[in-house]
Amino acid sequence: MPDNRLCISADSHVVESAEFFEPLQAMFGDRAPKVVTPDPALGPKLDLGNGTLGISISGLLQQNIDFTSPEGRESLKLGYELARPGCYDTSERLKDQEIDGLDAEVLYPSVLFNVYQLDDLDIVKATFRLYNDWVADYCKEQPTRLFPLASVQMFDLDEAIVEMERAKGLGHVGLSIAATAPPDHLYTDPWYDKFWAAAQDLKMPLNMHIFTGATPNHGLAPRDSSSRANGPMSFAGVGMTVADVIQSGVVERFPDLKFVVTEFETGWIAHVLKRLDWGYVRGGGERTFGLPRLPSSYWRSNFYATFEDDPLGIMTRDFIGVDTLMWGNDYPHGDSVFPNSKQVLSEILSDCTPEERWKMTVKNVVELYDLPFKLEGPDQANANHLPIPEVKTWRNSLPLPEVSVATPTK
Amino acid sequence: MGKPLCISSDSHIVESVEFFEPLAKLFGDRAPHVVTADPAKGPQLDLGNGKLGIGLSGFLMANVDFASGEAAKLAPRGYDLARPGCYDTVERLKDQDLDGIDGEVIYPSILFNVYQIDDIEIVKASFRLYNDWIADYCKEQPDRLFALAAIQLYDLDDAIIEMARAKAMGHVGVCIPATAPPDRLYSDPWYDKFWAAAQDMNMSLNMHVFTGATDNHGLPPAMKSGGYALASCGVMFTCADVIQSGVCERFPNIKFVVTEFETGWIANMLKRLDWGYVRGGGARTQGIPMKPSEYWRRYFMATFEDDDLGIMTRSYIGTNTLMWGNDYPHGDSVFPHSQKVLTEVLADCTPEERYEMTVKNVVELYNLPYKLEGPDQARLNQKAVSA
Repeated sequence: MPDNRLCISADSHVVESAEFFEPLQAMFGDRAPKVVTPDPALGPKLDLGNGTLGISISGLLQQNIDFTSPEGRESLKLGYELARPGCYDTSERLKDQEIDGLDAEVLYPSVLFNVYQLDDLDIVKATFRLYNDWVADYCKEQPTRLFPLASVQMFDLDEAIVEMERAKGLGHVGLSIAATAPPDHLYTDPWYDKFWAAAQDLKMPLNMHIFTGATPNHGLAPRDSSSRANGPMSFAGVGMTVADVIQSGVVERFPDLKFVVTEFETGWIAHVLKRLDWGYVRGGGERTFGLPRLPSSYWRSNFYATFEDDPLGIMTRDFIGVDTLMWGNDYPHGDSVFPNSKQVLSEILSDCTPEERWKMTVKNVVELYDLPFKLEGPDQANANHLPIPEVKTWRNSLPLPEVSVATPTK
Repeated sequence: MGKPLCISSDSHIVESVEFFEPLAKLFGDRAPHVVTADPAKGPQLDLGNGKLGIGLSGFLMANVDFASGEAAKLAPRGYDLARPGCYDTVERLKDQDLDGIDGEVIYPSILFNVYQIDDIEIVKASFRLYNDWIADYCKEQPDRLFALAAIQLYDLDDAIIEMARAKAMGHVGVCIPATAPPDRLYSDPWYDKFWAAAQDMNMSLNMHVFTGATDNHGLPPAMKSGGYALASCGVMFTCADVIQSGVCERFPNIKFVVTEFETGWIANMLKRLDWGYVRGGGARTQGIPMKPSEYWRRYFMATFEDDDLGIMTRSYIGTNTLMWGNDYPHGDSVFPHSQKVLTEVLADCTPEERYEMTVKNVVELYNLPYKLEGPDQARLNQKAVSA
């Protein structure tokens, strides 16, 4: 593509290697998180050192594979062997960016998600410091194409602020904080104010990625284990975080603070904002909430959300605000759209204006993280130079799913 | 062509003080009864277990801005706020006419809090009393008012007996808790005999906002501020549990109705459930042969008052699953502006879609005594034509 065209993923990943965790052994012995393979059929997982196991590492490396197919299940056994070379070699990674039509990626961790739920705070701090150094080194090799986010715990705020400053110095463009707070210490609590103030001063956006809740239930209600609903409905947890942050006035007190809701897709946002606005208006507005503006207005000035291929967020984008949406490809995870990003973008953004496509694939992410790209207008977005397909074939492009099975007897 | 129709699938009765009095004889101090603990807030239901229910005045403040000084002045007045139509069905028909409404499906109000009482005998007795009382009220206008019965789901044998009794009294469906107890979700096959009975009796299962089986209404216990606004996050899990656990697959004539949670959340829920299904192995591993959204479109209905997001995403939800309601006489009600609201919120819809959402779906679901005649029958379409 011509040199000036851009497409940036606001949600990509590194997958921490088994060796990454090894220094923790010397510090914490048996309590240290480490990669183990208790069941070869499921492949490696993170042993959290507290008797629980994390998510499957193979799933974090299986992009473009049907998890449920026999091949998918077979490949679970392979673990790190599934990794594309680009996962650990940044010059290989740039080749994958080119295959997928990308120019840059904002990087989140992967295996670390489960560390957010560990009780032992010293282990969490040490693991996150180790990660922040490790991923900074990785990204430093490609300083105009890879941009890391630092992991920070929120139980010891003085340490969190020190680590945030250190991360800023290392070149991190923002922080990953827990997507849902502990139930006895929600983000509504002004106790967090000194952290919010520091993040605002340092211009560090606060990113909340799916599966990084501070508790194992990720902010959802306690439920009988027979329920399978928690996975698909996980946005309900972060929806409460958004409500808490807005309603408690955090972004009113810290008007330059930015929050990012990552990989929860976007079809829920308009509804949540609509209902929060309704609750505000019905509940007394400024007089009783202490907030001079509608909740949706705070969303549009202080929040962002990432999506891969959610048509519902696009259908309701006028209400959400196109300035708050950023696309990401989720490379190299199992849910990733790699290497089909160009097809996804051409289909899912087909009804959008050139200006809207530019905002969601270039402008918003560059401005939010202050990335080193010069903004030149809609023509700059590679998404505006993709052919718009006559027939949409991507998995989530179709607004109306087909009814595929015979109607049951009625 | 018969008379034009517009039917509210979500309206209410507000139970009177006297309604609760027989319970005092049965349960003494433990009986739910109306009290005025704080004169500034007006009357509330004392649940008999040390807790107070929702403020009654809010149930009677149709078309009042809660946030205004006026609302604060009105709150102490309690039942004095009731429009005559709340207790006199002849007056109620006048309010229907005022609002351009031809029939209403009636839910309770104060009873919402009884769903969360632990003492099952009190719950059963309150619900039986209600089911008799509301049947008598609706019987006076059998072509315009259609009652739903309240049913507990802790003692299923009693629930089935009460459902049969309600059916005989003319109730068109039953109201079950919108969220199940967390240790006995609707995914549990323990409920199967109740589902089977509801299917056999053609009784739809209606789940109204604020009728959770527990105080948290299926939401995270720690959640501070989102409860009212994000109530849909509770019932969404109920829908997911019912669909994913195969309830509709086992009982293919069952019907669930999700009431007054609005509709902007539904498309997203279905999309995410479908994605989880496809990614999780589909029919092979999930135990159901169809995608979750397909069960929704066959077995679920949802009501709305004025949610434009549900209308924007209706092609995904399915207009055969959406029903409009005016919420009369509650504080959130669109009465007496229903025709204006419908004209605006359904502006982009086809005449067929308007007919589905204001007439056809509700008539078919509850088997109401109207002859269906097509899109021209919808009052809304006639107005649109004449305007």
